[in-house]
This record gives sequence, structure tokens and C-alpha cells, in this order.
Amino acid sequence: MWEKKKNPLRKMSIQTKLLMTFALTAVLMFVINLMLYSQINHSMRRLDEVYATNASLNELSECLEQTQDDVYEYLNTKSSDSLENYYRNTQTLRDMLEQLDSDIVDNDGRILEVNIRNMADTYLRYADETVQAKRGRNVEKYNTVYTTALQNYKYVQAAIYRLNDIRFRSNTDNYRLMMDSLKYMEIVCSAIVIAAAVCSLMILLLMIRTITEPLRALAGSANEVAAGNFDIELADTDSRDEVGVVQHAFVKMIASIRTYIRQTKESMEKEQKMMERELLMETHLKDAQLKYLQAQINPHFLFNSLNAGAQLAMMEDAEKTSIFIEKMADFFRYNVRKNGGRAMLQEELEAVDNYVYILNVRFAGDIHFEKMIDPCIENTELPSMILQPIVENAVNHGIRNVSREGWIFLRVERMADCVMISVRDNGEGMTQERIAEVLSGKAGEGEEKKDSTGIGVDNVINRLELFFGEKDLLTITSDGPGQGTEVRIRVPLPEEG
Amino acid sequence: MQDREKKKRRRYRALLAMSGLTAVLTFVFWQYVSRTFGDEAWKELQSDQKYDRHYVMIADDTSSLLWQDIYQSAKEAAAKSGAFLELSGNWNEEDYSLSDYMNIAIAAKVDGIILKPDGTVKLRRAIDRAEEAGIPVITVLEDDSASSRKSFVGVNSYQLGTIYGKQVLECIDEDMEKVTVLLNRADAGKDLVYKQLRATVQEGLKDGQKVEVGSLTFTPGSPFGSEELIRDLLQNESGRPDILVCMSETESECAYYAMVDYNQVGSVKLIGYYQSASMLSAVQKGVIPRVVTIDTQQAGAYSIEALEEYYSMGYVSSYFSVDLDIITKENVGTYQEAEET
Repeated sequence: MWEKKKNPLRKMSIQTKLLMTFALTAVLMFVINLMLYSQINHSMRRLDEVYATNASLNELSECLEQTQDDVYEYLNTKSSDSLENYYRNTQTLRDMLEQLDSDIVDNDGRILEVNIRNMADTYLRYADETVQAKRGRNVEKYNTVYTTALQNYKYVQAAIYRLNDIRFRSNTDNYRLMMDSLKYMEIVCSAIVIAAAVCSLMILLLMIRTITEPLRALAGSANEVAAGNFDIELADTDSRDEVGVVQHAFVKMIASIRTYIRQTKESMEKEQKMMERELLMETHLKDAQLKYLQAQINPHFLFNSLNAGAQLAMMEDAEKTSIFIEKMADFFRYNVRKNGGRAMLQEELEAVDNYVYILNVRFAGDIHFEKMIDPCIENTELPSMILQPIVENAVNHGIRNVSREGWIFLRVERMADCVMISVRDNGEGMTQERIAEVLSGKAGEGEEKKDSTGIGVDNVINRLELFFGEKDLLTITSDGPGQGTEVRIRVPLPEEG
Repeated sequence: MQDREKKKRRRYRALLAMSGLTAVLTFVFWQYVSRTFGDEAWKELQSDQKYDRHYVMIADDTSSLLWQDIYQSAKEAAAKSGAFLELSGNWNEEDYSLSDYMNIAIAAKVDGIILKPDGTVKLRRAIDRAEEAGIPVITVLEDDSASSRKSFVGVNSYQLGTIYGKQVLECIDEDMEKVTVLLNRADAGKDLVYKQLRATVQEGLKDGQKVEVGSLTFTPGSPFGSEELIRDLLQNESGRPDILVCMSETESECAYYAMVDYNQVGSVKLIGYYQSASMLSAVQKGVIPRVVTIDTQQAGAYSIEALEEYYSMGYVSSYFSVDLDIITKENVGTYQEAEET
């Protein structure tokens, strides 16, 4: 019920509210004035009415006097003029008497009016009789009746005089009453006007408050926001006035600022994460390179020297030596060149070729290396120095210590969403525990192999994960000791488009 | 937020309540002013209850308490039977006699006249004229049996004289010699009263006791004549009576005040007439031993009853007897109480 009452006010604009307040006040004052003036006019009219009866009584008295004069004149002169006047005045007098009250009521003035009406009627009867007697020359009769008529005339005049006196007295009372009522009216009016003014003032105050309060709240909220506090509580308003519109806009603005801040925060967090990842990858690469450098002191010097050796072998026509040295130089160059961490699969495969060649020279062709490469592997990117350590492990831990002929199979296969690289040997094989140790990075800690490039499987796994942002890219399978080992690397392809 | 809403609601309610209160106050105040100074106060234009018949009561002294009391009771009785009773006789501007007022009433074609005749022939004729005009006339307090009045309401002179006589006998002491009765010539029947009073007193005297019962008659017409006469009587030691009998309200009051002024309380015993406030207080104080009073309630009611009876039956009994009461120190309290209420 309250809401229903309040709602129309909320839908109004400030302009309408102010106009309404003013109109309400004006109407109130107008109505009060109307009431007061109507009351005063009413009193005035009543007084007028009473005075009007006085005036009509005077007229009646004059007419009666005129009639009496006419009777007297007619008796004196018997002139036709006076007779005519007499009849005319009699008629006027009768008309006037008709206007007088004929109701018998308990009121001095009104009962006297009834008396006057009847007495004047009696007088007219005697006057008529007199005139008739005069016309009939009945001297004795008209003399007698005239005396009675005259006496009655005096009575009527006395009665009129008395009624006038009563009226005057009551008018005086009425006048005093009216003056009193005017005096009271003054007080009443003042009281009413003051009450109305207070009410109007309160209405105005409330109206102004409905305007200023939201403004004040809005200003307070704006200050809070300016101080950096976006978590303010400012209820949206259903008020439709100008302030309501501004408040609504402000609330919307705060909400959108909050959303923007949240989004910015999220994207910053994401960026931070990415930076962290890159930093970590770099750390691992640096670690690999450090280990490599520890193993290979000054590779530039080494492969430059090797190049010089290769040229020397060519000059001496030692072709095999020259090729060997060249391959070694290529291998080390690749190592040095790829310190950026990113390599093409093709380049990796070449490095593996060089490595296997070098080893075969070292171990007199004991390592049988066979590869099966899918031609559709162009543009496959992966971290550098991934394949060589795997092949190195296959040699060192797989086939080095077996008496039988050692084979290493390298297969690169293009799948739907990745390139699958498989390095398989027919060497010692691994137990499942060992595989788990290797995959969790616990194996090889503290081990330092003298003829290794120094990059462990854990390093390879970490770099793969960092590079592609996925886990379990490297898997090791073995059917057990003596059954050989297969290391598979899944290289995810970037999504096209 | 909710607090603010609550506050707002409270404020609105307070405003509503205040506005309502203002409106109610204004209305009440307005009603009060309108009522006090409005139409009801303007009696002149007020439309009153209408009556079927118009009677007139003609009194020689409309301001006297006796007439006021009779008029009031008669007016009430008249109103009950649908008639309005006008009190006439107070047109102070003109020196009108009772017969003038009679003539005025006849000219005004009233339906009935009640009056106390003064015994003049003029008035008797006026009564006759009224009868001729078909207006019934009722005499009250005094009678004029020679006129053609329809009925008389009051106490007959014989009864009144006897009662007064008995009051004189009640007051008389052994050493008392003189009783004076104040008589107004205008009161035609008072001679009879006086005679009966004297007869009653003479009859009631103890053997050997001699009391002189005399009268002092003043003629009406000279204003304040009775007052001067009474003062002369009380001032003059040789003519001063032991008992003074008054038969009208005004004379009783004159005699009482003169008696107090001349320090005659105790030496002159006054027998007053009618229960005016000063008489009652004098009786209570023991200054006046006895006051004869008439039952005005009865007088007024019977006057109207006579007129109504005449109108309904066409005739009316010629005499309605009104009770007389004696006020003494013993019963004055009840009269005073009645006066107060």
C-alpha cells in the first residue's frame, strides 16, 4: 500500500515535483481564502437582508401615511383626485402587506409582522367603510368610523415603529455579532493560514529532500570512488527524476569499471604466468647449455680446430678422416648455433645422424642405426637438443654393453594432430621401476658420464613440457631387462588457422 | 538503506498525521465559529415552529415577576396545544392603556386574549368588542363579571380576603392596634377582598382585643405614587401601622425596602404578596412573617386551558380556581429551591 502511494512521486521529474508542491500550496491558500471570503460575504448578505426589511418597513409606513392622508383629504374635500390616490395607495399597501410574514412563530419581530399585516388589514377595512359612508353622505357614520380608522392607523404606525425598533435592536446585536465573528475570523484565518503554511513548508521540505538526499548520497559515493574504493554500495533507484537518471548512470558506470578492473587483473595474471614459464624454460635451457659447456670447453675453438683438421685430412687425401672431422664439426656447430632453444625437426634429425656417425667411427661401426622418416614433417618445431640425448641414452644404456649386434631404430611419423618420434633399441631394456624413476627425474642424479653430452632425460621432459605447455609428451616403454627400450616423443602440431 | 526507508516512512506518516490534524482542527474551529456566529445566532431570520393559533396576554406590568411567571407557564401550555401566546402591554413608546392593547389585539385579529381587567368601563367595552369580533377573552387574577369575558382564572375575592384575614390574625399580638391594607384603585375586586379581610379579622379577634383595620388607597396613573405613599406611611409615627398588608408584588417590595430603610423591622409586620426573590429572602431572614402567593403555573395553564376548551367545545366554564399558598419561614426553603432550579 505504501509502495503504491510512493510510486507516483518517484516517477515524477524534479520540475513536476516542484511545480506540484507550488500548485498544492497555492490551491490550499486559494481554498482557505475562498472559505473565509464566502463566510464574510455570507455575514454581509445577512446583514443586508435585515436592513432591507427595515427599508421595506419604512416604505410600508410611508404608504400607510399616504393612504391616511388621502382618506383625510377625501373626507375634507371629496375630490376625485384624492379618491383615485386613495384607491391606488390602498392597492399598493395591500401588495406590500402580502409581502409580510403570515406565519405565527415564536419570534417578537415576526409575530409583530403578522400583527401589522392584520392590523393594517383592519385599518383598510375601516378606511373603506369611511370612504363608502362619505360617498353615501352618511355623515354620522363616516365620522364614527373615521375615528376608529384613525385610531387603528395610529396603532399600525406604532406597531411599525415598534417593529422597526425591534429590528434595529436585533440589527445592532447582529452587527456586534458580526464584528465579533470578524474578529474571531481573523484569529481563525491566521491560525489556518499558519497551519497551512507549516504543512506546505513540510511538504516542500520533503520534496526537496527527495531531490537532495540522492544527490548527497551520489556525491558521497563519487568521493569514495575518487579515493579508489570501488566496492561501495549504492542501490540503484527506481526514481525517474533527473537525479534518479544520474544515479542510475553512476551505478552502471561503477559496475562497468569493476568489470574492466577484473578483466585487466586476469589478463595481467595470465601474462605473468606466461612470463614465468618462459623464464623457467630459459633457465632449463641455460642449465642444458651450461652442462654442455662444462662438457665441451669452448666448442667454437673445438669445431674451428676440427674444421682445420678436416682440411688437413683432405690435403693428405685422408677422405674418411676428413668426413669424420667434418661431421664432428657440424654436430658441435649445431649445438652452438641452437642456443636459442628452438629447432626444426629436420635439423634435429641431422644432428642425430652426425652423432651416430661419430659414435660409429668411435666404436668401429658397432651401432646399427636405421631410420624411417615421414616426409611430411616440414616445419615441425620443437626444442633443440631433444633427439640427440635420447639416442645417446639408447647407445649408452641400451646397446653399449650388450654382446649382440646393437640396433637403434628411429621412426618419425606424421599423425593427425602431432608428429610421433620413436627411438627404439634392442639393448638392455628397463624394469618398470626404472622407467618410473627416469620419468620422474630421479634417475641419473649425481651420475656424471664422461662421454656424454650431459643432457638427461628429465631435462628433455621439462623442456618439452615448457615448450608445448602439455604433460606426458615423452613415454618410455620396455618389455623388461634384455628386451630393448622404446622412447616415444609426441610433438603436438600447432592448430592450423 | 532500510533505516533510511523507515525514517522516510515515519516522516511521511508524521506529515500525513499533521496535515490530518490541521484539517480536523480547522474543521472543528470553523464549525465552532459558524455555530457561535453563524445562522443559529441570527435569530431574526430563523424559521421557527409554526403555530395554528395566536393568543395575546395583556399585562399591566409585563416586567413584574408575577406576570413573567404566569406568561411563561401559559406560553408553555399554549405551545403544547399548538398556539402561540404573545405578551402585550409593553409598547413603552406609547402611553397605551389596557383598552388600547385590547384594541390592538382586536385589530390584529388574534385568536384569544388573556388579561387582568382594571375595572374601567373602557376596558369592559373593549372586552365586549372583542367578543363581537369573535375573539374569546379570559380574565386572570382579577375578574370583570359584568363584561362578556368567557372565563375567569384566579382566586375569588372572598377567598382571598379570608386568607389575608387569617394571615393578619396569625401575626397579631396582644398590644397591636392598627392594621393597614394597601389598596390600588385600579384593582376593582380589591374592595371586596378588603371587606372580607376586615370581616375575617374582626371575627377572629379575641374577646376584648381592639384592632383597627384600615385601608390606604392610592390611585393609579401617577408614577411612583405608591412608593411615596408607603414611605410616608412608615415615616409618620402617628399613622404607622402594626401590620401592613400588601396585595401586589410591587407594593410588597416597596414596603419591604421602606421598612428596612426606616428601621421598622420588628415593629411593623408586613404581609407581602408573591414570591419574588427579595420576599423569599426577607421571609428566610424573618423580616417578613408571611407572604401570600398564587400558583402562577396553574394560573397560566388554566388560562390557556380555558381558551382551548372554548375552541374545542364552543363554551367554557366561567371560573377556574387557582391555588393560594402562604410562604412562612418554615416552607420558604422549597420556594427558594424551586426558584434556583
